Amino acid sequence: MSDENEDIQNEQEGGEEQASPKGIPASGASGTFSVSGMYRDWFLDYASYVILERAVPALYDGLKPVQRRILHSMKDLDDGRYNKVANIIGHTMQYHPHGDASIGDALVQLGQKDLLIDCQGNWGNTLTGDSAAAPRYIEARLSKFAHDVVFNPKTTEWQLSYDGRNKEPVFLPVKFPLLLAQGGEGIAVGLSCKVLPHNFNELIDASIAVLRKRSFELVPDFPTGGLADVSNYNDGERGGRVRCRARIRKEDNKTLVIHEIPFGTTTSSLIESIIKANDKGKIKVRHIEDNTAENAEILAPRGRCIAPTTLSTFYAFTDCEMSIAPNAVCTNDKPRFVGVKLPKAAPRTRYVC
Amino acid sequence: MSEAAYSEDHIRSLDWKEHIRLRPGMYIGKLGDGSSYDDGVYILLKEVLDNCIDEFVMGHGRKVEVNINGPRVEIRDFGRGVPLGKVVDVVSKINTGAKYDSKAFKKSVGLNGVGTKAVNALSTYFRIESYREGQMKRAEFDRGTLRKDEKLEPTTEANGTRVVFEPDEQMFRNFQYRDQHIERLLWNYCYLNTGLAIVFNGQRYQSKNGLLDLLETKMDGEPLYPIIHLKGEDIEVALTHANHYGEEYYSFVNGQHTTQGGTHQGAFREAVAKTIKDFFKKDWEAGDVRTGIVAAVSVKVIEPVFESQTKTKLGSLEVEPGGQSMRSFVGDFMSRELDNFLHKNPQVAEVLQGRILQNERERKELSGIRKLARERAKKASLHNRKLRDCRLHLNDPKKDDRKLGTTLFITEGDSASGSITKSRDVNTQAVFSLKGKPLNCYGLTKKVVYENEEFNLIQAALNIEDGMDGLRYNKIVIATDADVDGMHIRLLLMTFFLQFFPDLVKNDHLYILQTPLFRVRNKKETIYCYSDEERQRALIKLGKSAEITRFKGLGEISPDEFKHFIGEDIRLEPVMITREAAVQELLGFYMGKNTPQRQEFIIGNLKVEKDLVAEMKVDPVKVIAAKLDEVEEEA
Repeated sequence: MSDENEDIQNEQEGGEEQASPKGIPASGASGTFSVSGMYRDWFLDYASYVILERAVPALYDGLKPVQRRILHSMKDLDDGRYNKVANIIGHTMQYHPHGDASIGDALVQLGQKDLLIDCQGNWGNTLTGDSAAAPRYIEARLSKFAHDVVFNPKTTEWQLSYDGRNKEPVFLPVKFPLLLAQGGEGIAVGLSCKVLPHNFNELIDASIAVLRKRSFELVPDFPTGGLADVSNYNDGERGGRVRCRARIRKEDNKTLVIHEIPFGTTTSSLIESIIKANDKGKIKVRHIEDNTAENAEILAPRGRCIAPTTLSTFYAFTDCEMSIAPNAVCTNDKPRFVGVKLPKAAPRTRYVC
Repeated sequence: MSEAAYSEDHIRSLDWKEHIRLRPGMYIGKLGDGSSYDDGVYILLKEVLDNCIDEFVMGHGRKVEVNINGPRVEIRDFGRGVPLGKVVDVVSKINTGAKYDSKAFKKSVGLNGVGTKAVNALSTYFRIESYREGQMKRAEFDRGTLRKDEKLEPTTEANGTRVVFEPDEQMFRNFQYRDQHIERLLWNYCYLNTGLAIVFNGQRYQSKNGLLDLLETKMDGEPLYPIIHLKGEDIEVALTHANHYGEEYYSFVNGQHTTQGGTHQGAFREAVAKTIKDFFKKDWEAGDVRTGIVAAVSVKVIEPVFESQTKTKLGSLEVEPGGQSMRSFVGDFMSRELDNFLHKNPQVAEVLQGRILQNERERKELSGIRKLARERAKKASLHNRKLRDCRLHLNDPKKDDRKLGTTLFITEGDSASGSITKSRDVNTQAVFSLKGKPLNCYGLTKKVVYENEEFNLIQAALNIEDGMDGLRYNKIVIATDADVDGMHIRLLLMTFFLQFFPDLVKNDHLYILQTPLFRVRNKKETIYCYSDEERQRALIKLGKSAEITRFKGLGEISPDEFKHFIGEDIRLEPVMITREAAVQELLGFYMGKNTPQRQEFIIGNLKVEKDLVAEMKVDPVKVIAAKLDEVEEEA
């Protein structure tokens, strides 16, 4: 009932809004604002911007503005050789009027997905949570895959950059369900976006299925490995839920080895959660050790023998089990709550090729 | 030795209107542009209205009509009308009036026979019409000079007086009447004169229950117990407690709203705490008894003495010259009436006790943190490292007119503090720089003001830990970038003040600094524009070759440019709580937990700014020319 009321109210308020000239910032000099007007206007300014221009990926290319601008400026700079990340950041600032740190973080995250960017140097470690070296040390260039799949000047719509000095793409003509492959996360105002990563080959099969108008099933696949219960995946739409578990094996009678970790954790955060549970007396470990190299490995020797219930206590009281609520939101002038089926995405691919 | 000539020729006697125009402060306080409730243009309105109210008090004319259309103000009462032969004199001869010896007028604020003359002298157009028994007299003035003095005419209008005036643009630069301030003024008249109806631009304002109505409308949220309303001779009181921090008082002397309190409010505060403590026979701290109180007090005093020119703080120690002291007058009334009331209404007493005990508990909880706070305060009093202070302060004991101009700019990061520091007037303008976004303190307890260092330093800079009395700046100005993150910071800071220091906002100390959005310049001239419309006008003026810069951050503005924006032509948007705004609800919706309603609200009202950007990028002049054509066609 209250929902309906809210709707009506919104519509009325929306009507008022149209009466004022378009595009004039809320704090226009016209005067007489009350607190409620200030809250309404500035809140909407902020929320709209964060949703449309910052935190939520776009429906057409699966990129947030900062990511799109990084890719575009890397294409600008591309001469086949590696570029210093610091230079890429500086170049991206022609298009992205924000701080250098936020651009750098976004670039490192893109690089860590290991799909579009060919990385040189220490780009950090997603398993342990170690961070990348400073931008002046590390280098990057676009991967072959990115060159093939992300760019095509002929089918790109262009717009002028914020200062009117340069051109930048409205969307990139991506020929691949990029967002589903890389996954994506963003906390906006009033809503947040969480798209889980999927398997590259399965995505290609699914894309073919869409083009052939066949039905298909798509479930997430995590780079960190582990087990997952996807029976409630709900196609990635809001309301669904995925449970991820670490893979744990018994090394000997007294030692557990976690050798694949659940999505959303790092070995450091996982160890943290085990220590916390141990402090609270929920589980008992004598010692804990991070032996991660190429693959994750956490050793947890226990004072006593491992009982049949030990594993379940790990799942219950530590981050060895994570419950993830996917909520795929994309912007297309407005935020849209979508699922992985994306009936429109594949046909568009035909157009952008 | 300079031979400054000083002879008989140098002694001048000013004409009355010259004197008013030369020293307007003596008559109407400050000039201002109408953005603040005590700006001169409202005082003009008040001076005229006071006469209408006096008629009402004498039992003539239950209705007053006020019409304000742009700069023109028209006020019509239905009293007895000014005696027709003296119409010109009462508005243009100083020290002329009827209220010098009548007893009923002894407890009035005006009295000095100056009011309407000041209005007359400070208006480019002033007209008075008096209607009496079918006869009418009209006179027109220009800055106090008589322009038209018409003969008596027959009329069918009902008895009364009509005054029409337009404040002088030369004195009140860029003034604008703001409905919020006018409504507040009119409501105060209504609350203090039950039965009086004021019709403002077609809308009717009337109060049946006086101060009770006032409290009901001013309060946001529910009172903890029904408002206690007590009346006696020359005193009226209404009070209750609510779920907020701080104390909230609305005090009046002879119908004048004393926003800064004074002796009557002080006596009331003392009397409330004492009466309640005596009633419960407990030795509570007075602060615990009063935290959360919302009260209105109105007293009538013979020959009131005010501490300030604008009559916002009462200084009278006695109710009449040589009479009972204010303290015992209010104290006796409260200890009799409030005590009786509490005896008659035990359930109210119970609720009241609950609130007081809660206050005591919370205060004791805070005392642990206060230790940390004290250390911080010590540090801050040695040096508040976020603050670049100014020389004068509002709470300085020394008298100085510039004190009202004391301003604290709260700036966002380093982007503006450097420029403001460099271009400020160090006598009255201080700068406090925030680092990043402040915490969203909605739903947090007052503990956070002590725990969060930044908030603690703001509190220390303002000196408001123990209430508004020690406030060090008259204006607190939030100066953030004009981009979306700046908007967010404004909201976060407003939330902080509304949550923990609502009195600061209610007493109109909080402002938002407007900075220009665009700079349009050619080789000869530079125009700063605060809105899209102004930008278009500037473009038409400066022609096609003009360069447009859009200011996104305050950091883009150089110090010498900033001088214009915080100097004489400063543009401030007051943060005002209107009657309708239920602040807690508002904060809960925007700053509280995300709800499906809020999500829908955002999605349904999403602002897409693309149009503006696209326009700017095409050819601004062409677009504007096209727009102008459109407008003309429509016309």
